[in-house]
Amino acid sequence: MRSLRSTLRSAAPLGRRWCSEAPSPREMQLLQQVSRLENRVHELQNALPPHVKPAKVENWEDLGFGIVPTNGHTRYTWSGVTNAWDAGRFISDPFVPLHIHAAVLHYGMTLFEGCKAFRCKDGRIRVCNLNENSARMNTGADRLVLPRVPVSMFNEAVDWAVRANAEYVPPYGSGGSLYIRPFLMGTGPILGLQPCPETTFMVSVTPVGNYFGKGGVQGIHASIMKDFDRAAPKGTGAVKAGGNYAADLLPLKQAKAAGFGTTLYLDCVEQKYVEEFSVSNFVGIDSKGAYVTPKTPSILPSITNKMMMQIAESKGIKVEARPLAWDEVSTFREVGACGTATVCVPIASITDGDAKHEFGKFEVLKELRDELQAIQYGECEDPYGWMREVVV
Amino acid sequence: MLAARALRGMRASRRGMSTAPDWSKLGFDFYPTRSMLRYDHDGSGWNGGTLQQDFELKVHALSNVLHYGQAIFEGLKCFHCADGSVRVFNSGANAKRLRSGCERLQMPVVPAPMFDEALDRVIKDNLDFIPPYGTGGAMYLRPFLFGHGGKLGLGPAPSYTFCIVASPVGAYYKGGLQAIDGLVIEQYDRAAPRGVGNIKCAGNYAPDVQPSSAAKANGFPICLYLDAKENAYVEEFSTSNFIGITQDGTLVTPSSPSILPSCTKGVILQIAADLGIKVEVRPVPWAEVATFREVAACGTAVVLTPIQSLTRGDKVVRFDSFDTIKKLYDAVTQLQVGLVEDKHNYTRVVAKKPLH
Ligand SMILES: Cc1ncc(COP(=O)(O)O)c(C=O)c1O
Ligand SMILES: Cc1ncc(COP(=O)(O)O)c(C=O)c1O
Repeated sequence: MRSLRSTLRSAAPLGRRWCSEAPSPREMQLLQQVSRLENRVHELQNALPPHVKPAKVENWEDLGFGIVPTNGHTRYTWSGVTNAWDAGRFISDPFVPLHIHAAVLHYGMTLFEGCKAFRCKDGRIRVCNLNENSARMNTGADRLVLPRVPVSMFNEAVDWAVRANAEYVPPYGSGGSLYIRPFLMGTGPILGLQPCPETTFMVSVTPVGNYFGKGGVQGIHASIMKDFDRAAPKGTGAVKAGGNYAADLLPLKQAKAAGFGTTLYLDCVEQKYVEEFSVSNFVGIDSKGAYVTPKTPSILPSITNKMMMQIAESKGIKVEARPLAWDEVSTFREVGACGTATVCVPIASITDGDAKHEFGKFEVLKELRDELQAIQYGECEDPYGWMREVVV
Repeated sequence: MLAARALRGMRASRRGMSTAPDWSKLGFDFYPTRSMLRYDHDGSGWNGGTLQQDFELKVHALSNVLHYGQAIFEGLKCFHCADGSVRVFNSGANAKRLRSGCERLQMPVVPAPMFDEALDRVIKDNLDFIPPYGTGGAMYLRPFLFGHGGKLGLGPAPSYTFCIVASPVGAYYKGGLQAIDGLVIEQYDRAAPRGVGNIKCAGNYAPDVQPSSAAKANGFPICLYLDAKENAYVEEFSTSNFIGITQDGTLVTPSSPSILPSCTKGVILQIAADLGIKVEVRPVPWAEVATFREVAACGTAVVLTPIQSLTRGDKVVRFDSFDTIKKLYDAVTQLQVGLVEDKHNYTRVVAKKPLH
């Protein structure tokens, strides 16, 4: 105990030091010692996550896609000085303290992911295809010069958040799931644009209902946004960078005001090829019955889309991931928007200026969606090894 | 937590400092001043704003700013002038640019009078942190606005916050203008033609860290982007606009819907016109750049940075005279500290501070 105190005492003045002085080897040593002690404290905290009595969810059927307060989130911090992640903590306060110059506030240094945990038929909780989310986040981390999150840490952070919020995983049969939001952001203070000295990785969760409510699946009407581009060919469209999304708020508002449910973007160079919907990939069944999805360097690779493609292939459906000219879409039998939140929703129509193309059917895509959901809820075999149990 | 705080503390304290810095040692880093200013918008309007000594903000973990990049910033300076006045430079242009960005990102706008009042409050409460006339420094002001409050799907935020935080910064050039080498970025685009390149939103900046860091490591302190559509026209540098001077002395600067309109450029173009220099704002093909006599980058941080070379692949274009750039640089910097008449009302007196 004495050595702990003296370590803390000698480290305390560091907090008041002015920044331009680099730490001396002795200071560095002290900081590393303190950092190790911190990790030990966190370990103890991990063993005993604080238990906050949750506000019980009364009616699982009424859940939408909003926020329900939960027990808390997991949070890990990376320091550029030690070049290492700490051991993480479970935090019940839903608010995050940020330095006024935190890189995320000024320079958009942030990436997020979206995945889900399901209460399966056998009563157990399983997460779906997390390794893919982890890999996609790391691709984004490289692009935005944020530290990578090791897959083991990603899994640990998710499991911890799910376990500590197990009572919020909607029951089997309700159609709901626990939406998981991992995110990685530059929290260190910087004035000029440069790599960020401190990064925070967090995992928040919230229970969500069946996206379509009780009325069953209804088709969505989409509008092509010719006045706006989603992403530049060599921009950040292929990673889940926060900045990609703020740009969609105005187009989304305009589309909604005109009676549409979502936006569809074309490529920004020729405005001829399909990119994707606001927050979901474009998938379709063409006139020959093939599963077609556009492939360009500026589309976010949807994990749901990837799973649907695998299921389609297993059923002997031809799968084509290739540039898709907008002109070709009018010949499609079915069109869907796919992503974690909705799995795959039917697109009833796409409007391009005065021209409106309607898609009446949703059969093949529905079959693929049903099969993916059956795997997610543990109603059938998981031949792909996507599901992993989170032991509570 | 303690180690983390100590580490952070070495870069910047979270609390306002009350001692003035050593003016000669200032660079372009965050130096905590006495206070910052914060206004909140609850959905119906902005509150009166409060000066606070705490340089920490608490935002909900599921906030738009943390997930969807709904954030925008500005950058401008105020100067201690030759007559002892403290003047903020060209703030009207920043207020206007902030407004267009807020509209594009669906955030509440900050009316120009509120923007000015906010600047005045921060400047007046932090007078002793403004580098004195003669040191070559200035007070950098960083207004920023972001959406926050718990929200899951993509949509407008429940709350918005507008802050201004100040930092004293040093003279960029310690002795005369210094020309630097630029690299043309081929692997990345800065902005899509109909994207958000023309507003100062946070999300435009994170993608530049990778190309800029790689360029720096290869000896290029500055990066130049071309247009995303054809890779044939000059857009702008990472955080500054492009200025070229042709052989016959005409000032040329690119026009494009995806360039951030530099406020400094506005002043430079006006001063150039006043000096009888011909000004052309038009698309600038990369191929034309090799014919320029002078090239510079312009922005708040440095006013004008002469570019001595631009490298694209294995081709290098060089520029070795900077007479016009120097003339413009001197004119702008003299205007900023009140050494020449301010014909176009770019400066606004906010306070007085004794000269030493
Ligand atoms: C732009 C965009 N496209 C597609 C998707 C779908 O990806 P996933 O299936 O991994 O959720 C998302 C995320 O939900 C997205 O933000
Ligand atoms: C992308 C970009 N271009 C240009 C500029 C220069 O603008 P200003 O002169 O208003 O500082 C900035 C900001 O400094 C910028 O971020």
